Amino acid sequence: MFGTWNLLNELAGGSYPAFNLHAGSESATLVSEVPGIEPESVDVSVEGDVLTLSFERHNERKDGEQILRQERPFGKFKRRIKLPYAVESDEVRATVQAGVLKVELPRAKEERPRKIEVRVA
Amino acid sequence: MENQTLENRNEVEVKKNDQVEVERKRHPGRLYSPAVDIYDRGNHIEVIADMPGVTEADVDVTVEGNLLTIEGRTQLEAPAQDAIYHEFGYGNYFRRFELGAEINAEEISAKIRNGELRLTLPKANRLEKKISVVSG
Repeated sequence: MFGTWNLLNELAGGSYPAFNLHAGSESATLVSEVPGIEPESVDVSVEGDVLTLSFERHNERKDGEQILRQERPFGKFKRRIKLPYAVESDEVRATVQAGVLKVELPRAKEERPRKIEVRVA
Repeated sequence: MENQTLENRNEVEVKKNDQVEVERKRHPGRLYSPAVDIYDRGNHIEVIADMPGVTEADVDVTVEGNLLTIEGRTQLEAPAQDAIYHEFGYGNYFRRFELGAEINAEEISAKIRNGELRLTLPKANRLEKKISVVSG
């Protein structure tokens, strides 16, 4: 159904944060890991079939301190994600719970599959 | 190999991941090693672990001897629609650290917010004990 999608998914940005994308014929859901980010500091915007996700994670090291280990990425992150179809941007709903972002993306009404009534000729 | 640096500094060292294999058998489902930062804040060591999906009720921090273990369970379920792109899995977290001798294990504290676990490991007072010598 969305065979070419993987090649198109990354329009810009790196590979952080990780996300998963699920899609049905009427709506799609994006789930992403954003640990440590306050919900209001996660920016999500949608234009047509492109979702942009951005936020900043600060370096936790303070001046003069020794880093014993630093595996968590920090900096400004932005990912532009190609969705399988245009979405109804007014109806997009994003929530963050315990560092997990979930974005519900209803498919644009004009793009939803229509059932065609078949009549006897 | 990465353990050596920490060992030399005699602070916190990460136990070899053999234990993860044991834990995988103990816990069904997927088990992930959370990414951590460890900083020497002078009078204490701070450990920060990314555990998205874990809340206060689902995290365990335990100290047994000189081993510090962090565990987190998630209730995350994949959305009902078909998966079309997949970068991370849903599962639980486990990681174990070996505490250096200077950590005061009794006073370790932990808090979790937005799926980020922060541990404060105070260093024990390093006052040298003076042994009095009597003539005899």
